[in-house]
Amino acid sequence: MSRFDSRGDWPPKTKPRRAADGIKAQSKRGAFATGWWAQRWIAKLHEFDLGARLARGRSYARSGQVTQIALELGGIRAQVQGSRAKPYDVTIRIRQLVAADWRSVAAAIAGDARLAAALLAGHMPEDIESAFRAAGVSLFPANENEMKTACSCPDWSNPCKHVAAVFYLVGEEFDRDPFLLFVVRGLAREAVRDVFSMSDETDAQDAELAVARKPVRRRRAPAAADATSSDATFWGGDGAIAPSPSNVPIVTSADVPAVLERAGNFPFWRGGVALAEVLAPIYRDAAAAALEWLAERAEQQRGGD
Amino acid sequence: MAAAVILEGRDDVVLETAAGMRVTLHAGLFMGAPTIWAASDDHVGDAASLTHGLDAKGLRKLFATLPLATPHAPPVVGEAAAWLPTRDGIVIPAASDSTHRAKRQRAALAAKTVRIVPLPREFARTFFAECLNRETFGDDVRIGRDVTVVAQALRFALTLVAAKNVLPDLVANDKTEPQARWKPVMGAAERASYDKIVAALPAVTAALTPSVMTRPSAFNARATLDALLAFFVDAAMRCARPAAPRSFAANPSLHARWVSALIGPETTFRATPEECVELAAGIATWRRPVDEERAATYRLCLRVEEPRASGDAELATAAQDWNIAFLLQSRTDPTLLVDGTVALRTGALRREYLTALGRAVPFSREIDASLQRTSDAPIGFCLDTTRAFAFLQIDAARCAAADIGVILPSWWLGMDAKARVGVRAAVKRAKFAGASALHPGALLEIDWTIALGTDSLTPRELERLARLKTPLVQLRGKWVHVDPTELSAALAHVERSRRRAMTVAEAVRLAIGAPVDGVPPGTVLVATGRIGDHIAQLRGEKAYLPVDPPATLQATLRPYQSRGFAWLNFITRAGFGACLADDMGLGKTVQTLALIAHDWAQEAGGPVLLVCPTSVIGNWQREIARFTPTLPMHVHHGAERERGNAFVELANTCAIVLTSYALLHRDRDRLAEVAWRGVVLDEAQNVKNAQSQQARAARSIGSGYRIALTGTPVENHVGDLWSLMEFLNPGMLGSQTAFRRDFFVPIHVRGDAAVTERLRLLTGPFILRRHKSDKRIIADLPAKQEYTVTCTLTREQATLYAAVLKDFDATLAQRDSIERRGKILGALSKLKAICNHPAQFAADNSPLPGRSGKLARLEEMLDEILDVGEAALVFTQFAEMGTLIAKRLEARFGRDVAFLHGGVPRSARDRMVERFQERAGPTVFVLSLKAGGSGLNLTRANHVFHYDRWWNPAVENQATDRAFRIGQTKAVQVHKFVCAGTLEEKIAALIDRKAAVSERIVGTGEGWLTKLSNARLRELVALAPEAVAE
Repeated sequence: MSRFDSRGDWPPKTKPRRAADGIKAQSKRGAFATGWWAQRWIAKLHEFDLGARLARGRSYARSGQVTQIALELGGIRAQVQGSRAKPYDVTIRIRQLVAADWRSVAAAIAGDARLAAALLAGHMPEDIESAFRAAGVSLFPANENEMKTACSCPDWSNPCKHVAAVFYLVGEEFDRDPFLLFVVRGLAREAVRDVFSMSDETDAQDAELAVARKPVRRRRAPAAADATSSDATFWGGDGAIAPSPSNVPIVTSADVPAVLERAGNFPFWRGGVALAEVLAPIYRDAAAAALEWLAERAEQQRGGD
Repeated sequence: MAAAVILEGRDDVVLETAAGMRVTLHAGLFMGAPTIWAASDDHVGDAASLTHGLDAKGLRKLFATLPLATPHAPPVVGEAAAWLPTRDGIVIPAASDSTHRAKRQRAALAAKTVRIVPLPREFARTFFAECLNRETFGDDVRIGRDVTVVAQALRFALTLVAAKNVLPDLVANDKTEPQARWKPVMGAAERASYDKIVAALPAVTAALTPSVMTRPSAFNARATLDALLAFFVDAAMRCARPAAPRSFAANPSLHARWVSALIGPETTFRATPEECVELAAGIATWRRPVDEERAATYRLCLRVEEPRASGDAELATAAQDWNIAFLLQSRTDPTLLVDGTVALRTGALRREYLTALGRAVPFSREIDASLQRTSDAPIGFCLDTTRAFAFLQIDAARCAAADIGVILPSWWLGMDAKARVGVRAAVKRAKFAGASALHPGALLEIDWTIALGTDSLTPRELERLARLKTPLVQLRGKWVHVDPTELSAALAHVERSRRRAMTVAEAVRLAIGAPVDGVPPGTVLVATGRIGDHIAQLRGEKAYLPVDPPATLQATLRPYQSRGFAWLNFITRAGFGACLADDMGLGKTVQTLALIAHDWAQEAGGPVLLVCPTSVIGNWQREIARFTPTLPMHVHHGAERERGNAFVELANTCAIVLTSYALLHRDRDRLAEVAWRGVVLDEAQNVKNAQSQQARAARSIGSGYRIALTGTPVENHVGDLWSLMEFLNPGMLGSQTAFRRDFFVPIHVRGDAAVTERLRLLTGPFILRRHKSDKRIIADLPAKQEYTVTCTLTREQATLYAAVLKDFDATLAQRDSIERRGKILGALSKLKAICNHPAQFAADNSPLPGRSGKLARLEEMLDEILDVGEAALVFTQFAEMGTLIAKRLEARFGRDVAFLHGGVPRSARDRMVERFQERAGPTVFVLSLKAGGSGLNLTRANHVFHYDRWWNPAVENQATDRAFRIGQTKAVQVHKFVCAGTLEEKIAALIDRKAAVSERIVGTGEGWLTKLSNARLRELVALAPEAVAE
């Protein structure tokens, strides 16, 4: 009964409706993710024997059929445009680790500055899994009980191609920001830093940390109050104002401006061409024009004084 | 008289305000955009009169006349409420602002309706840029302090754009359509400038609201500045490209719509509220790493430590122990560096350090790899030489661009010239001995080798270099970066050039770091003996032989002038162009004429073309006649000038041909036919714009030597230097584009000292500039020097002059002696007024620029004087002319110009004098001869202009003594203006001839003139043909 054979042509090739402004995978071909942790996530999908559905899911992810994705504590919700008018709802629920689990993980990696630095750099260190194991948990969903997928489409297969498409895009997003893997596993973003860069020093040093911070806060407080008023009189008086020096740091002709490089990929980008690729020429031209302008002003200033 | 403002622009437009009104421009934030409004100064105490500031028409006219780079639509004038401090219904004016400061709390804000101009994007930038360099627009419109501070904010915004510290954002609320906007990104490094502007921002910048019914919220300087910066940054980013790429325009997705609205003029885009929420969340997630980084107090700093020098060079080169140390660096104080080990042990710094380290990972594979590799605490890593090289070359630059501190060895940065391997060109000896040995075209035999700095390398060392796998090597105890492609190019050059000789001129160019055809850049020249001395002389390191001034020169050169003449002689003979940039009054003319006369006496190698502005042709003519009367001279000028072959023939018989810049361009083909011995450009700032017709024409004329004369401090005008040098020594500074990139921008924007020094090396040998204040010069200078400045008439002036002359005979025919006397004095007054300015004669408030030879000359000379930071007095006997001069100078220089005349009350007069004497006061003081000619102490000025003459040396001297008196620390220069070929020149000559008796005959007035015979008088007032400039 080829009709029910998962290796066969089921589901029948229906043409999905084009989603005008869906999220398109930013990798054009090959693997969706480069980081091992993101690849591991996608491998979870490959553990299911989905046959042709995998390829369809990939093509859905590349052509922008996924219109919404939200990552949240304990899971992912998404909408995928299929052949019906109404997009299908996709959910991937992941078992959240409880606070005690995270405490054990934190204890297991405590003091490993190298691990912390790599994490803070947006890298998932390979040996982090051993820290999770030591805490008696796992970073990735370990079995079917830890991850449940669902889709409102009529396909009997679960995961279906819609779930697959979402899986691929989420993999890309994990690549961009590995912390999100902790988020779906139940650790709020605000708490991530506390778990992974926690000082291994004694309480005394924690106290020192608190003390060291206090003056900073105190110094900032009056500045904030000051912010509403300036020293100038209503009209500004008539004393000379020293022109502020135009200390522009050395600008390299790098293709991508540092701020864009720092910001990285835009999450779930729908624009087709990568954001940095479109904006880089704008930065370059505007910076060149501004430099010329500043140099002209400086020349006039010097000549005039 | 209705007050009028003359503004500089392509066309002069008279801007009329209400009679006698002075207005101050103010800037404020209104509906998110910088907005201009104006308040009247005179009536600022009277609340109601604020509406009498510039009206809609006046504002429109004001903006129409600003010098704009791009055409723009006329600004829209609107209405708004200005909330100003008021007590008892009266606005507290800016003047008494400070005295009321303490009571500010009690001065309630009250609204006045004012006319406003919201500034469109491109226009705002042009407008505020203009305000950075001036205090006024003409004498009736001054620029408020608030406008100046907003202009500073503009400059700051552009430094953010230049450093690419900008990110796109979304502005969305329920009231307006969503907008895509560029926002500044600021870190600790930018905070200092930001705080300075916040402190200076006056509350008036937030005084505007849509109507008198809406009170402004309490003034928040930060919020106001943030809005201004956002506006300026957004405008600057949008001017780069007109529109988004087409692929985006066709893409209907939310993100594409947002990006399309970031590019080009349109900021709004279509989006549902839900989409806005999604987009805002996306943007926040996307830019979080940037925001976190900018908020950080510390950053990572990498220090590259080279392996210690080892005795065995081979071993050292293969060293494995390049250490890259991680440090924590304060962003506000970069000198504060904390070792990684210390930072990790310090509770408060540990997280900062780890976070900073993490941030560096995407920018360096080596850092990334080191974190994965080691199992110790991350405090740095080691590299072998090959990878250290890659790190220095790639990672370090990427990290530096990403705001990560990088400390590199000085030899790597190329700062140590002795640690550079390259070609060495050693001059063996001149092929010919004798005087011709130093001729610019004489050939020199060169020994080409490869050297470390100036020391040639041994064959063994070279062999080692050839075998190098990594471009980093230890040579003679120093680490050196040897670029293999550069090294092979250098080797190939040395191989190829065994026999290549160099000319003396090429050797000189090489010595000062200028490019030479066919020689690799960075080649080091080693020269001893005569060539070495020659180069040292050019560089000013060694004195050159003095030259006797020519016998035909009718002047005794002062010692510094003899040096200047010898210098001109030396540089021109060495085959280079020279710029003599002595301060005004040091005698550039006589030094130049000495050179021309010297050449003429020696070899008569053809005529010299002397180009000057039209306004000084008469002056040159007279100076030449005075200093070198025996030199045949021709003035190529005026409608009647010689053309065709006749001109070429005539020119070839002359020592000097004098012409104007205008004709240099118009008659360039004709002028190019003459084999010129030299071309001299006077007032060479006329060719500062390389693209101008004058500059192109000047460069196109072939000649034996080229000289430029200017009194402006050329070294301060880096942008103008290229054009000047391209005329003098073509190719020396490279192409103009390369010059702007390699010199102009680094010097001005980054204040790069190394680049400044390189430029000085390249241009210094060809520029001689002496200051009056120089001790060696001062000793040579008399305390007071008087010059007659000969000016020409414009065609309009000449026509008016001739018209008045027509009636002169009728005046002379008067029988009644008293009436005759009156009429004659009246006619003389008219002629003098015409010489001054047609507008003085007509008293019609017409535009001023371009209509008077004298005024043009005054502007040119003041340009130079103000450029070097000196101050001047301008005397005129006519109060009307004084008003015109003051008005024109204010418009031209955008600075306050004081005018003291009989109508100024005593107290105001004292205040004027006091302000002028202050360092920061106005630098030009116009005085009527009667009101200001005696009693005052104005020693801040060291230039005194007599714009017109009173024909009475005693009166003029008394006026001059306002500056030339006890308390004067500089040499005083007196410039007496006289129009060539008019009554002014003839009367001046008459007085000079009778100097001995003049005191007696001229008395104190001009009455004596009426006693002259009719024939004598006719002769005096007649107009000579040379009077007219083009």
